[in-house]
Amino acid sequence: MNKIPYQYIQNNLLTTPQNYQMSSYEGPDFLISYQFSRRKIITELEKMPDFISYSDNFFSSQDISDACVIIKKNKFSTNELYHSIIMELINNPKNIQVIPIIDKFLKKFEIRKKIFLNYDNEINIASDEFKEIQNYILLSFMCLIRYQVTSDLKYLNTFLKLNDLICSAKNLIVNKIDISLFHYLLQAEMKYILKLLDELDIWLE
Amino acid sequence: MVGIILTPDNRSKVFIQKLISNKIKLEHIIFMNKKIQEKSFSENETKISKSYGFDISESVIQTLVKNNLTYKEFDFIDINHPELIKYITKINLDYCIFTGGGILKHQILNLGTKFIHLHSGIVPYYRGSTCFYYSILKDDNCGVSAYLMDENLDTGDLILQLNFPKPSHIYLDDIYDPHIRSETLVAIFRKKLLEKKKFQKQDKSNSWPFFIIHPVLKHIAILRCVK
Repeated sequence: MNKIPYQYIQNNLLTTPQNYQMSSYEGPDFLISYQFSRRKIITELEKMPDFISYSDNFFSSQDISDACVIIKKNKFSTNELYHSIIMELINNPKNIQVIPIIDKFLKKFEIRKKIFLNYDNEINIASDEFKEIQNYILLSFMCLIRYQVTSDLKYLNTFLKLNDLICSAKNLIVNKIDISLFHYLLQAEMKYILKLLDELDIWLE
Repeated sequence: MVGIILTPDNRSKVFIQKLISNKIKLEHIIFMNKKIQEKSFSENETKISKSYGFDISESVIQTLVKNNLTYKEFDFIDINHPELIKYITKINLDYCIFTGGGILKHQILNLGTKFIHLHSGIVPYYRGSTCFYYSILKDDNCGVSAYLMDENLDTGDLILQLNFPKPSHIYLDDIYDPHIRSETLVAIFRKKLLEKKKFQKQDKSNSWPFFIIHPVLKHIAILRCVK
């Protein structure tokens, strides 16, 4: 059993954002606590009713406009835009047209730690609501795809923060697809963290 | 004429101690001092800091007094404060070393004094926050870019860039980061780069900055240093 709990998901980060500034060094035990915490949530997700493993088909049957068209609307749905970007990324992971859009939303998340339901065509906030957990899951998925393509640590960094937030508000994950997708994201996150540790020859006891 | 703006923090402590030990004299020292409680350090941290040529347990004010240095003190910490701007205008500095802590706004940037910042990352690859850790993860070393500040993030004209090996201890934020920045500052004076005025324009194409590092990645970077 771990001596220190993984502290970054203790509070609901949707309502109490975490800025991660000057985080303290806790030693290798911190990484063990992190892994323990993530594994626990992965197991909880697997035990949820109707849990199924993630498949790319989750996104294939949807009829959604092109992301570059959606973003030009006076007011657009973040959820619709994110679905469109993900479909594009799955079909063509090296599509460079959607990358600046993803990067803008990553930057917005890093600054505000919130994703709002709607934005306008200049990507200004156009809604007060920010508690739609699926939007955080979808942005997290975009980070994963971008990290897989680029190995850019910027994406892995935001991926970890988004996943912390989703873990901290996991009671909001009720949709069957969200459960499966988030399960897939956490597994992927752990896989890439372990891969990074392995590449750097860091062994946790 | 060159000056420095100090605040009661680690970076200022290291900068002023290293300038003194390298016999670099500045025309003006400004100390923004809100008399806040300073952080205390363990014996090990102090010992390591001394191995780099400074004492992290010594406060800025102790260093200034011990070395009989003349300084102008303000009772606020605000780089854009009208009183500070008025004072810098009056003393007419060519260059002012800015140890950090706040974004310089239009008014202070347009005084005619050029502000020098030491950023712990090699730009344009490492712009933004906590770049120190990202470069340890990716490149297995650290770097510092000294530049003249402009209104954007880490995009001003370059004075000097230096690479450093990663440390072999865990005190990265408090000890090693200010150490490598101060070494770069000292190198600027040794090489007389401010007198030569051969500054280099930055490649601004890579404009997406790094954001504050997640604790998991920070731990991996530190463990890479001490493994």
